[in-house]
Amino acid sequence: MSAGATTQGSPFDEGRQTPAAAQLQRQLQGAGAAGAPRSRVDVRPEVVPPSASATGDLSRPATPQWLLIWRSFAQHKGALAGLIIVGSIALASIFLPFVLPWKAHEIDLDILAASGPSLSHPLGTDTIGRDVLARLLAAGRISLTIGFTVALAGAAIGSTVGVMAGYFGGRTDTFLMWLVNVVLTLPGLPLLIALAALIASPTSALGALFGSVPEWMRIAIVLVALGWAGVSRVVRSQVLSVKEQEFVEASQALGASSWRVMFVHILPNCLSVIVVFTTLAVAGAIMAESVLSFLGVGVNPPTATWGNMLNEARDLFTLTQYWWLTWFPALMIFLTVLSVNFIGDGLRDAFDPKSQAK
Amino acid sequence: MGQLIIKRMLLAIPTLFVVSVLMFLLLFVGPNPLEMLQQDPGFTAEDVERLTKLYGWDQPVHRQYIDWATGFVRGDWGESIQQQVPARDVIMERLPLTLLLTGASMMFSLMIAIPIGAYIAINKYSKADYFATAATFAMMATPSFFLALLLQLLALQIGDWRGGEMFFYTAGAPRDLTFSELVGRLTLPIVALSLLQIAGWSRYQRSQLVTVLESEYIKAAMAKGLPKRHVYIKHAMRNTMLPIITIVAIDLATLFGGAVITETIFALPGMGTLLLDSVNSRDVVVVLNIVMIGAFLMVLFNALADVMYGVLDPRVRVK
Repeated sequence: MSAGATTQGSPFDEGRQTPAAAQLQRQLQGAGAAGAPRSRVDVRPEVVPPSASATGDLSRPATPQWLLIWRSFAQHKGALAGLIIVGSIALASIFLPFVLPWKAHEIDLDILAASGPSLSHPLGTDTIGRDVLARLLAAGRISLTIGFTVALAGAAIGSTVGVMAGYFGGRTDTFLMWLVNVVLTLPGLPLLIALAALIASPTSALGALFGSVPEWMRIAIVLVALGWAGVSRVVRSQVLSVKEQEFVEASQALGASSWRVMFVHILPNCLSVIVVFTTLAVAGAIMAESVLSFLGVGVNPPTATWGNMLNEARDLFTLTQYWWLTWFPALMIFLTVLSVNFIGDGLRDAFDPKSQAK
Repeated sequence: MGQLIIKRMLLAIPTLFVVSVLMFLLLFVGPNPLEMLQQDPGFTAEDVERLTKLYGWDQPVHRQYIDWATGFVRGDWGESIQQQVPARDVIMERLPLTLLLTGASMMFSLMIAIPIGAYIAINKYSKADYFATAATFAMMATPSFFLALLLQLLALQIGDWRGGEMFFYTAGAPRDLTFSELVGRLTLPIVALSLLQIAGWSRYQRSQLVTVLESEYIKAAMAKGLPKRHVYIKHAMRNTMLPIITIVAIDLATLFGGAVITETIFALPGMGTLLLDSVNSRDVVVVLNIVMIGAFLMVLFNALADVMYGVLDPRVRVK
């Protein structure tokens, strides 16, 4: 999972990178990496309008594909609003804590109790007098980091498996897809709870293995371990259709290695499904983290996450008396997940030529 | 037909085997219960020795697995470390409530979701359709535990004028309660657990039915002058049942997961609360068995969905 984060470079020297890194990098750069330079082999008539395709008017430069996708995406108002909301939440979580006078762990000694929204604490304080706004932002950092890490790592693993299964076929396919089915058959939340508790316990083998890893990353590891399989199926079926096209045959005939064909030629053509799936996985991971933290087996206090803030406020007394302790964290989860889902929806439409016709 | 069932069941065996090995390694060998017990002042040295013998922790791993697996198949699920009674008794006491909760919730969700989905598919792009879409998105983004908390708050308000406790499950196994008591106490948990499924399934039913309604044979049936109602129910809906069965089988995992959350919030004595208690008290024997039952149910439902496919769709049978 750390492979992609440490690798930097232009999209053109990806032959020297590990496959997973190249792929992750492409995901980080969005659909743009699959754009113009490859368009001669990258046959995608359904996305490129006739005037800009290889058979059309050659005197005019082709519109880059990412631009076409962006235009279509921007027409989806919900998706655009979602992007703005998630963007603001992310930027606020990253930068506001440096500016604001309140710290997430700091107890206001004048208050030492729950107090409603006021001038000195815009979103109130929690039951021991910590500023709710500062905690929400600190929690946002953790929750968003987990969401994006889990989605990206899951996509990297899942699509590698999917591409290999689809490309090699035969026994590899049978085995990998069987593995995917096994993972998808695992009882989700109960196993997540058990694993999350295990990895947090220093006496367990798993806990000993990941003992030095920060707490949020342990939760992320558990979520990735059970969450990578979904994308494999979709990628595999996409690969099955892509690998029959002529440009794949052409590169095989030119003597390209299997790895090069898979990750340089086939994978970019599966990017649309991967990007959509990854976006939706961000929402899923944020939700899963909040559920685990709410149940007390995720990220533990004093580190704030939206889930464990809700856990601290779940008794009926707090629920009725200190509404700001419940509604604000819930609202953050709601807004983030809703926005990410809208973005995913917008991306799906943007990538899908059928819906562009509308 | 019988062949299909047998074939599908045989396919499930290697899956179950691998799942059980995986979980055994992760859960049972992982937490090293010996060390844990030695640190626990609640257990004397004799206790630790007795338990070590009982669970065979001094044996090699594969031996332990075989002992556990044969025991599991035979119905001997080991002894709860914390309560020191057979794990099977502990779990079986809690299982009925969870099955009741998830089963009732599945039925309830289907009963609501299918008609809603059908209605908004037939009246595509109507106000109802847009409203349902908005509601679905909102539902999917609301943490289920927050919804449950809100429902509980609502129940408190109602409880004030209905005279108290009827909505809250206080104690006892489901068999000790009368039917009406059970219905009253499970209403809120079932609603809380169902909302997410209703949103997802109605959406799915809509998209399936919209596709079916565009197909030629529906147009033919309409052109022939058959009553619309008849076409929708007899011709169109029948073809949406297959995908619905698949999605329901897949979502059963979510449903069981949701049951854990719902049981925790409403303090129901089911498998979910048992799982959390056992995780917190490090009772690995109970945890392992619960997760294993979960896996078993998942495999079973997946196989069942495939078999149902064969029953409902003659094309699958022929192949």
